[in-house]
Amino acid sequence: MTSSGMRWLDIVRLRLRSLLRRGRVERELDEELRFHYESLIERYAAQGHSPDAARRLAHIEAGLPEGVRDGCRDARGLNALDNIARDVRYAARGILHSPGFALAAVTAIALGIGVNTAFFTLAYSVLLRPLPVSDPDTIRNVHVETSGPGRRSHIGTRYFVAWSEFQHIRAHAKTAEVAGIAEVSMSRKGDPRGVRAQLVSDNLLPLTGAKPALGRFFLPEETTKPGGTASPVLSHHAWRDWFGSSPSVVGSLLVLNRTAFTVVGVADGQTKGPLMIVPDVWIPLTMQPVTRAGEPLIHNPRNAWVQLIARRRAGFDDAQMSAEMSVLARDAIRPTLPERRVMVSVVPGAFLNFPFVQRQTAPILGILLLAVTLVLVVSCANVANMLLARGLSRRREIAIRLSIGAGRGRLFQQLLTESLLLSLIGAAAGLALSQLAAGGILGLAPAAALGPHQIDLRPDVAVLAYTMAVAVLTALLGWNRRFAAARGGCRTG
Amino acid sequence: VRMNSAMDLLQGTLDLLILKALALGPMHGYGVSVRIAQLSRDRLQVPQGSLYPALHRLEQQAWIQSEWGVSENNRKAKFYSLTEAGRGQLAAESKNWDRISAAIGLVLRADHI
Repeated sequence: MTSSGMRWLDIVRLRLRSLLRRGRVERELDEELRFHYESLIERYAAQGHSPDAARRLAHIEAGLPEGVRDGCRDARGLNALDNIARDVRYAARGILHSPGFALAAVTAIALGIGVNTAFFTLAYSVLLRPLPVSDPDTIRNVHVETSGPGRRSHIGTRYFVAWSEFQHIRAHAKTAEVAGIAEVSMSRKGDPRGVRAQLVSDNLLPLTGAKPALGRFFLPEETTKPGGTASPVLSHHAWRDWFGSSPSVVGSLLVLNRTAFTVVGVADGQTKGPLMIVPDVWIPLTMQPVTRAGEPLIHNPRNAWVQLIARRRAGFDDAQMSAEMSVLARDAIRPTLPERRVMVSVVPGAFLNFPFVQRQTAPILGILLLAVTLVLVVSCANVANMLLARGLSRRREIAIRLSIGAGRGRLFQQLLTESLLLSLIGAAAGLALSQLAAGGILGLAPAAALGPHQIDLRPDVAVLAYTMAVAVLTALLGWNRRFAAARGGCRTG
Repeated sequence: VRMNSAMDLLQGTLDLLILKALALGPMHGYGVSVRIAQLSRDRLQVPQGSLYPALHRLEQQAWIQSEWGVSENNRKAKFYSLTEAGRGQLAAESKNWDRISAAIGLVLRADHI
C-alpha cells in the first residue's frame, strides 16, 4: 500500500478514536496540559523565582485551560457535534429550571403555530394536495368552455360537457384515456343524511388506480347505454356503515332514490375518487335519469353535466393532448351548436386546477393565511419579548461565561438552541392543536357544502415541513432579540 | 502563490514551525514551544491556546503521531514525532514558505516600478 493510502487510513482511525474514545482523549489532554504547566513552574523556579511567583507566572503564561481544551476539540472536528448535544442538554435544563416561563413561551408559540398550521392544512388539503389517485402526474383535467349563440345548460360548472360530447371525445382520443364523472346527491331509505354518489364511466375508477376490495368495478357495457344497469360500487366506508363490512355484500340490494340497485363491488380503503369529496357510492354514468327528477339530462345534448378527467398516455405531452382535445370537443359540439366557439384547457389534476376552485377559493384562503401569519408574528413578538426579559435577567450568567473564556459565537449558538428547543416544543403542541382547529373550522362549513364526509386533513410531509419552517422562523425571531440582549449584557458586564 | 487570508497564513506558519521543531527529534508539547522559542532566539512565542490545537490538528492529519514517554525530568509526557507523510509535508511547506517570503521580500524592498 502506498504511503498516502496509509495516511488516509490513519486519518480515519484517528477520527474514530477521537469520536469513540472521547473521554480518554480528553483525559490525555488534561495530563498534557498539567505537564506543560508544571514544566513552566520548574523553569521559572530555575530562573530564581519564588515558588509562588513561579506558579503565578506559569499560570499567566499557560492561560485558561478551558480555552485550550475547546481549541483542541475544534481541531479534532468534534466540537460541532459535541456542542449541539451539550446545548440541547443545557437548554432543556434551562427550560426545566423556569417552567413558568417555558409554559408561557410554549403556549404562545403553540397557539401561533397551531392556528397558522391549521389554515395551511386547510388550504393545502383543499387546493394543493395532489389528487388522491395513483400516479397523479399524468392525471389531467379537461376543461371545455363554449361561448356564442345557441342555448347550452350547465349543470355544475361551465367546464362540463354533454353526455354525447363525452362519448365522442372518449371514443376518439388517442393522447389520453378520458373518463367522465358527475357528483350527485341521492337518498337512501332510512338514512336522513343523504348519499353522496359519483356517476362515473366504467374507466374512471381503474384510471385513478383504484382496486376493488370485493366483487368488481363497472363493465364497459354497463356505462354505455342510457338507463343501463343499476349496479353500484360501494365505497369502503359505505360497506362498513351500511352493510357492517359483510363479506357477502356483492349481490345485495341497495335502494337509492326508490330504485333498486344490486351491489357489484366494494372499493378498497384507499379509493377516494378524483374529486375533493369522497363519495359513498359510485354508479354508472348512464344511471343519471334516476338521480334527478324531471327530464333526464343524458338525452339532451344541450345539457352539459359530465366532468372530464383524463389520464395522459405515455409518449404524449400536454400540448399534443390539448390540441387533440380541442379538435375532438369542437367536433363533438358542432352537431348541436354549430356556431359556438370552443376553448379547451388541459391542466394537471389538483383541486386548485379546477378554474372555479381557483377563482373562488384561493383568494379567500390566501387572505386567511395572511391573517393567521400576522397572528403568528404577534405571538412570535410576544415570545421574543419574554425571551428578551429573560435574557436581561441572565446577563450575569452570560457575563460570567464570557469571562471564563466562552467564545461569543458559542454563546449565541447556545441561545439559538434554546430558542429552537422552545419553538420545536411549541410546534409539536401547535401541530396537535392545528389538527383540532382545522377539523373544527371544517365543521363550521355548512353541511350541505360537504355532506357528512371528510376532506383529508391528515398532516403529510408538506404540512410537517411547513410547521417546521414556521417553527425555525419563530426561533430565529426570538433568537435575534436575545442576541441583542446578550450583547447588551456583555457590554455592561 | 495564493494567499487566502491572514488567518490561513498564520495557521499554516504555526503548523510549519511545529513540523520543523519535530523534525529535529520527538518532543512533548512543552518542549515544542521551548524549541521554537530557542530556535527563533526568543522572538517567537507559541501560546498554549494555539500550540495544542495545532498539535491535535496535525495529528488528525497524520502528519505527526504521539506516544506517551518519560520526560527529561522523569515525568510522564506525551511525545510527538514526525510521520513519513509529515516529513513530506514539511519539505513541501518549507519550499512554499521560501517562495512566499521571497515574493513578499521582493514586494517590500521595491522602491520604484
